[in-house]
Amino acid sequence: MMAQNIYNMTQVDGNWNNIPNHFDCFLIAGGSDCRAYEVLKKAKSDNVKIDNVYFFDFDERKKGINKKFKDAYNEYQKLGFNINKISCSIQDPSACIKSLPKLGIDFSKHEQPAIDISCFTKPYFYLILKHMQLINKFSSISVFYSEPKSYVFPKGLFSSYQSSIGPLNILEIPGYSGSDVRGQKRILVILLGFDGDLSREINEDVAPSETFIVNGFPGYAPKFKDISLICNERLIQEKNSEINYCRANNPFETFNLLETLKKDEKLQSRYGNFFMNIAPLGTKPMALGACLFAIHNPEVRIVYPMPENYIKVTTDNSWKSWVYSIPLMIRNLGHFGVGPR
Amino acid sequence: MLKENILNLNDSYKNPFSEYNANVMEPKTILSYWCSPFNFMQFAGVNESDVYTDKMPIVFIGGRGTGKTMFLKYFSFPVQIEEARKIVNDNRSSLTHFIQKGGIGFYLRIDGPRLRSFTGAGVSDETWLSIFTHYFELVLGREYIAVLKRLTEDEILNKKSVSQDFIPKIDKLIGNASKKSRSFEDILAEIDNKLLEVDEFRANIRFSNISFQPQKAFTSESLSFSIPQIAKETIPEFKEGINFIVLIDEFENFLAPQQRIVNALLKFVEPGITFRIGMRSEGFRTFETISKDDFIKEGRDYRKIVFEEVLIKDKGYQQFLKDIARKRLEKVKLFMEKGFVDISKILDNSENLEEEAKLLTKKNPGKHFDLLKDKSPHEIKLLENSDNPLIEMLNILWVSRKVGPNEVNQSMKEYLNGENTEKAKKYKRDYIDKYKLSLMFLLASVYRKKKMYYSFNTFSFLSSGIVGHFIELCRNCFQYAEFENRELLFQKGKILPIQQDKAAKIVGDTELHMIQRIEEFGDYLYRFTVNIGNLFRDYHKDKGIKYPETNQFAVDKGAIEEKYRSAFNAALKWSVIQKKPALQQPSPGKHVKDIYTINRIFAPRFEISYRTRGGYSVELTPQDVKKLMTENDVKPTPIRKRLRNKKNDKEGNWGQQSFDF
Amino acid sequence: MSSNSKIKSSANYLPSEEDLKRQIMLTSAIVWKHELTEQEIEKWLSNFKGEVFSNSEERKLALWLLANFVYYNNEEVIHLCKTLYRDFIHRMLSERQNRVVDVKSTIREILDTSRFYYTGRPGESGAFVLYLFRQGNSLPLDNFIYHPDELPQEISTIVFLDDVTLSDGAKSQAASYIEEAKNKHFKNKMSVLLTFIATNKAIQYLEKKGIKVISCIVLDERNKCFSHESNVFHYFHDQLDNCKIFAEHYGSKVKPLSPLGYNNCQFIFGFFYNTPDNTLPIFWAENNGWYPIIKRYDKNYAKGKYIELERFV
Repeated sequence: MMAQNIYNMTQVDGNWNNIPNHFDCFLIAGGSDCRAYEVLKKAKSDNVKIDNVYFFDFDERKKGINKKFKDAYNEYQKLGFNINKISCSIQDPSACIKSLPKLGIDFSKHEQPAIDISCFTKPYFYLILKHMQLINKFSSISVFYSEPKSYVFPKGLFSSYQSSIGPLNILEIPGYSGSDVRGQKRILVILLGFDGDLSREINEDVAPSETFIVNGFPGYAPKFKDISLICNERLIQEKNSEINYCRANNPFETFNLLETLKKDEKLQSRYGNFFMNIAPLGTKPMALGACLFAIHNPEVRIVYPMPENYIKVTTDNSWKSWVYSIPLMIRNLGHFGVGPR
Repeated sequence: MLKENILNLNDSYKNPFSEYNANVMEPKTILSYWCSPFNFMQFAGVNESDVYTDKMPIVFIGGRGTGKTMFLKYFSFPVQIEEARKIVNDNRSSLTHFIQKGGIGFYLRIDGPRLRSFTGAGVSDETWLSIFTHYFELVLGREYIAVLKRLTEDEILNKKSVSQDFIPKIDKLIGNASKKSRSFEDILAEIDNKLLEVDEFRANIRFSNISFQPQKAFTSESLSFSIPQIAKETIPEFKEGINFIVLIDEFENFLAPQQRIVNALLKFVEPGITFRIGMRSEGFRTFETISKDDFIKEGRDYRKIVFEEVLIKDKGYQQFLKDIARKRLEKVKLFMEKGFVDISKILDNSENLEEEAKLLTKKNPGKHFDLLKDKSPHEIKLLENSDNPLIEMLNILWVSRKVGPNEVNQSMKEYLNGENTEKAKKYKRDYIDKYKLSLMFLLASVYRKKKMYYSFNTFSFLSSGIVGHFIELCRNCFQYAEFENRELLFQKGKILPIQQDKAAKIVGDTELHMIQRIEEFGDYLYRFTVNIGNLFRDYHKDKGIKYPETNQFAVDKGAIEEKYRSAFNAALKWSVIQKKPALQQPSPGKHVKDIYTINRIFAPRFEISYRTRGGYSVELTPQDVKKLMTENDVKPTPIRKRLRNKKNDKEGNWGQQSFDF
Repeated sequence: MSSNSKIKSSANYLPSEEDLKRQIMLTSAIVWKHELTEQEIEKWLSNFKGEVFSNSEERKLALWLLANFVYYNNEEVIHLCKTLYRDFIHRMLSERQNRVVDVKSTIREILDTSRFYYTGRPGESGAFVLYLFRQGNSLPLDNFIYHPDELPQEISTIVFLDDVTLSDGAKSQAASYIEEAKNKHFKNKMSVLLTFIATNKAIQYLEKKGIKVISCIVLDERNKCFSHESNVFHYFHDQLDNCKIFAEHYGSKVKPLSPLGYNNCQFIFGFFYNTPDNTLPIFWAENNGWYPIIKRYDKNYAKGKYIELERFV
């Protein structure tokens, strides 16, 4: 019998109603994006108590940027929080996490952890959350996220969107390699993003028996649901499979969808046990939902295209901020919010 | 307009070229789409039966979309058993099928993300090498066992000898100390548990420093060679000469240390086992084996078959493409019922350059005569042929080569009248054999319009021997046709040249864009392709057409600086550039060199010819290659000037310049 | 605007017509189920006669708007129904969070004490949405109101369904329908409105009236086509004013009272079953010889006005 949980997802709108107002450990990524310190700023203005801010200071994000971006990157210093800097490379989250004990950083001593994933890359926050679960044994964590107001489409055409430039390497996200029982069919779930190159490359590399396409809908803005489809047109036409949907800003819906897929009777009868691969190319909340699912289903593999270079500006401005209460312990975890679809 | 109840195309129509990827095709689908290339061409002396019986390992080389995976999977057990079932009714008789073929294929593919996970995390390369060896042996061993299980369950193999002789020996091999008799399922479960040990290690090593301590470690050959050996010893059917054919796909994804393991197996392969490797060009990261002093060598340890090269140069290629297209078109009810299943009829077999030229010049006929500023109206009149602007362009060319207008006029008339004179023959040679397509490019340039790319013949050239490209070209033009002129497609089974042209350009642009995503060297290769494409474009604008349809280059790869040589090899691996089959002279009188072309799929993007004429190749120095890879917007002129100033290069004699319209 | 005093447009900076058509072609293939062809687009473009800018510029502006049109196909509408249902349950659970011992039984309790009803009149879109909502969520018929005056005592919540709730104040049809229904049949019951799409203002207005609103999609200034926050002109901001002039000019030819949509909403979206009149009329109008690209079925408010049937009846 599947247990059900009421998920907790609240807009951070200045009142901090229903949101904890004290965190002893707050993880944040350095960045010059508008959204990088949006939540910290809101917390500051609403007198939320944050004892320790762990600031992931990425070398690559500081190199070769102009003064305007540099100033934006350093804005966190003006907020007056207690900052613990962690120097790291965006390309190697594993090395960063492994170096924490050497730096004398131990999150286990804290009790109310939080993380703002707005400017972390997906591999990074995936690893951090797994670390929180496996090593620090936290039962839950507050995850903050700020939506962009809009995305940058060079030349105005949707298909011109790119999140990265240069070569791509499709990798298993460290810690999420799953269990591939040879002989099992593999299925691939792609959470669509705007960068169509990525889904094609992943689909080629993983070569699944079946691909499930998930579109973020409703999206942050109405047209976004079409943009992700247009940008991934080739994959969609190739697969000719129906499109699944889940809300772009609700990780629990993504979790529910993945869980439903995993238990789908038709799939089971077609393939028996299968090896599930997930490519979280869509929004960060969707990726968070996939991360939550993978944490609780370690046989699932997460694959991700690691670029050589991220494009510095892909979004514009900041819009709504959210906080999600993410359960990290398997005990009593159920479907979120409502009955099965 | 957008509303309900309009013709819902999903009910009866689907783009026949939309589903494409052999990796995801089920055996029955592979069989239904299979077009044997052996029917149309000979793979450098390899027959279909050689795939099963040739003792020497064979490496099949081809880029993405050339059909390697389809090819390898066809020979794998799951597809072959389906084929056997089409021929014979009972399972036992299927054995005859495999005996006749001479082997059973065991298909193996390990995806890129998995292979790349056997690295880093503070673990030494040597340790990863041992772990991967252990892993590879288990994966291959498992594949053997799974197929043998199926053969036994289907009663193709004798159950008694398998359970009494084979299974106990395998049990012992994998380290089962128990004396209790086991089944195939037990053995597979045991192997799966051992693989799980590897998975757990790979997951946990990212968080803490642990060591890999499997219950039993497997070294090279311990399962990959031993299991076939045991099968031969204990299963009577295998004594009748059924080989174990190991089909390893996408070998280029194996990291160098991982390739060393497989290279060792290739080198020391035992009787009754052989390997067929599918790989991209330049996919070998190393030729070393496990022992660094030992290496594999083509000819001695393996044979190489290049898909693209075979497909490009063979006349059977076009028929092969037609056949592939036919199978897809037949699956769409609408096309099947109306008999629209011949792609060369839907697209038209060849370009109609004369019609294209007429259309191009319609709004401003005669503008091309501006090229002859110093000629009188009377002389221009002699060169005119209002029905055929291409003929007029040839006349302009002849005049620019100092042939008098009267003589040109005479030659033209004799040719058009079908006379058998020397003048007419020369005119015909120049028009039909040498310059027609070049003239078309030039004409487009004069009118500041783009040359169109259309027709089955053009698409087959553009695909550059890569079936995937051809399918993508067709997919796009069917998509345009469905949107822009549905009625013509569904009622007449035709797609207009303009829609085909749009498809060609979109596919070319997409493929060009994707170069940037190539691992490690994407940026270099993108710049190189754009720069060299522009260089070729420059030659195509040459009003003297000294070197018609120049689209190939020569370079001494060995002399290129290491970093850029690696990038060059990556370009070959990813079919961004393609090497011509044999050494050639870059131009008459020159020493033989390797000649390369850029993938013709890019031709529409640069408005260059999709054919390979031979003749002149642009000779690049290693410095040129570096420049083309590292600088943006390299101007073609300095390179052309340098080549012009070289001795024996007669380009300078014409005093030609590029057009700058 | 006479053709003699054409305003200078810089529509040349928009993507090319070919690029725009390709974008529309892909959207048609994937989202609009191949329902749009180039011929139909050309027919629609022929409406624009170069009365404001040059022909080619007007074509581009029109194509730009079409490329940004949001069309909800039937699968997406069903998904919205499912999302609404889940949002409703989540909201009800969240409000009772402290009292929830067992989630499953609380959900049951919520559903046992709620009944679903349409907004508006039978024959309007609310009723259609109600049908899709029931289908999409496999809800029992008993959860839907058949006799509004015969509700069981234990029913405490009336859940109204509608597709769009875009207006506030006196123009709010949802408010007037729900209040009328409440006064007639559902006194002392909690009212909840589930709607696919709502504006912030509409939500605020209804909530002030004691009606809880749950909306899948909330529209704000970014969604108003010609607002300065508009997403449509985020990249081509300097095209906004000209495009507005263009849309208003042609809009006033077909809908003089609301050239940019009812209540000046300036929206550009539609559903597979209908297009709201808050969307720019240049897309859907059919009068005065205008050829629409998207269908809108107007409500026939006239009493006794019927279409003439064919010869044989």
